[in-house]
Amino acid sequence: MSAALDTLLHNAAIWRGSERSRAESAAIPSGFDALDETLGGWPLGALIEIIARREGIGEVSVLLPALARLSRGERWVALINAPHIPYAPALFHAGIDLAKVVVIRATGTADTLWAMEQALRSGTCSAVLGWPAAMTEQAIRRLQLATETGRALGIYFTQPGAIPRTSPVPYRLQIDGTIDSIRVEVLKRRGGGLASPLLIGPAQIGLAKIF
Amino acid sequence: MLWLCLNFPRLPIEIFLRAGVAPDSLAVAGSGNAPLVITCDARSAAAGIRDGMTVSAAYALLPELNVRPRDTSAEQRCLEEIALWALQFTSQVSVHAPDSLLLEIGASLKLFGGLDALCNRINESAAQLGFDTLTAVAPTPRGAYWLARSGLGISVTDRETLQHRLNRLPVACLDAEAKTFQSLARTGIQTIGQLARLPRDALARRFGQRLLDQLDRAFGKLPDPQMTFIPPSAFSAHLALPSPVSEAQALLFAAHRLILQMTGYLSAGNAGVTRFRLVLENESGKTTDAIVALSMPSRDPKHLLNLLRERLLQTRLAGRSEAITLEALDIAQLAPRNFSFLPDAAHAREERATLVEKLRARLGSDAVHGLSLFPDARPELAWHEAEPGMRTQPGPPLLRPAWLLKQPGQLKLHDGQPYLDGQLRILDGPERIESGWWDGFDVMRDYFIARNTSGATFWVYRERVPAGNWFLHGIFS
Repeated sequence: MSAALDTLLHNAAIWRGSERSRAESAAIPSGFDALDETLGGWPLGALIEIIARREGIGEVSVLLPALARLSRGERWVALINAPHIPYAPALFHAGIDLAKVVVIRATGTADTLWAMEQALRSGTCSAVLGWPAAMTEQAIRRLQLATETGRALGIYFTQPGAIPRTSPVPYRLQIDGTIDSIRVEVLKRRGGGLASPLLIGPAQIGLAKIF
Repeated sequence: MLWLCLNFPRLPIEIFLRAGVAPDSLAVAGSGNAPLVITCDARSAAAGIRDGMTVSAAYALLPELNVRPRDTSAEQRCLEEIALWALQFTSQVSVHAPDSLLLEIGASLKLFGGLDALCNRINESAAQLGFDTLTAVAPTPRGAYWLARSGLGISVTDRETLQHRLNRLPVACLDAEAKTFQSLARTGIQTIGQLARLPRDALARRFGQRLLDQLDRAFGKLPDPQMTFIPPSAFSAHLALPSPVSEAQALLFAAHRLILQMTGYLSAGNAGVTRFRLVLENESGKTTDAIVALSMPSRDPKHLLNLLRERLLQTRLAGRSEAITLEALDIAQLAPRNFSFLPDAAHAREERATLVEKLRARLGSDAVHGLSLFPDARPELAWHEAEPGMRTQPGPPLLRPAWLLKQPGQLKLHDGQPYLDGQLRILDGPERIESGWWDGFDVMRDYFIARNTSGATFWVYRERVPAGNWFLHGIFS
């Protein structure tokens, strides 16, 4: 295969028919080849659930290259009800334009979901990351609709404790850590098809150089 | 000069009805021993109650009738508040007590696309405020007033037609005492025209110079200067709620009327509001404030109402409200809009600001912030909450965790080594941070990046003074 074609196929905007049955409208490169191959980049306009097996395994790091890219546009990157202080020096170091970041603290699940829906639906956010304490099927449907309307990268984080087996969310990823890498398992994706778990490593963004 | 008279024939009752929460069957009555009904709502009218009827007769027809005494000072205040709103159509507005505004519109015709377009716009806007209006246009203020009061919704732009129209009006439109009207009736004078045909000196002698002056002013033979309404430096509008209200929805309906008044006032100066307040007055006289702050000035009534709705839903109301007041706290000039076909950066900024306002209205203004870097070696001070959208100065390229803990948490030790969901392996460090002796918040710490066997990576530090304790300060999520 020629080098040019090879590069082309690595472009996340390119969709290989053999991998999935139906094309998504829009996606942005995740910054990780393995993830782009399996997922075709982070989809825009489709809600994504990220189940983090525990804290600190790279559940946010997998998103940072995409957020950096999105923050160069004209829209907000919204962080809603984050579990800790989103640390400005780290986000800056990851290449995110801080002038586009808006941090929203909501007390209670209802306000968190409301804020997520407003942010997603408004069309003024390129990415909305939310940490709701609980999730209902109805809330997922509303957020999915809002994500479609706003054509945003819409993500909510859950803990592995209470995951219902079926959920209307179109994308579902489970993230775990290994001794030296991030393990991403795509549990559900548009176009169907199972994918084998993939490893992103050696570890969280920025840590590669000290491994 | 061209004058438009905006007459509010139902003002005495509309000051109650426009809040949207008045009881069914309301009438407003005058004072005295045998008070008379001045005006009443549709339901009372359907029951047969008429203006000028005694209140006791009205009760006989409709026992559940609510009667309010007329409140002329509230009417006057209401007129002045509407005058603020009317400034959007012309800079020369006069309050013509008890029930009218006079607008000099000669200079506004071109801006608003002609006389008909302007009149339609004024009438529609007034209806949204909750008022029935009668309008008329004439070259003299008094002429416009008489024509409006007579219910002739006509526009007269030249003196000749004006004279012709005024001559046919009944003498009842004059401002005169009862005995003057009686003597007019005795002499068989019914119209202005008949009166105007009398010899001038006889007219002045029999009915007084004042009456003659009125005629001359109406016809434009005497100058009739109007006292131009001088707006107060701040906008404030009040609305009494005839039935106490506790539901946010009903409050919003009433507040919407006042928001429209405010936006009318704002557009007069091409300004927008950046902070406004709705004061809710409850039955025991206590007040609750709902303050809405905007990141960019706006006078879009829909937007302002949405913000107020979110704010009100978050506000604990102290009992039922009996009155509301809307105040513009901070006003700023609106930048002229750039009408380009392509969405430009300024427009995008405005749209982003709208979201921030909406979120703040419900969650509180502290709940939404941006991030900025701050040149301080101490990790907890190396960032600030900033106004969303603020540019920040660049910082040094340091390896830092995505999450910082609000409070460092002390780590347990196993065999003298820090432990967190398993033994911690040091990947990097120490990075010595020593600072802050000058402001009393000393930091003397050695920072490490450490990882447990599950792959979770943390930012931890060992305190140097007092020595030895380990703390978790960040998470490399």
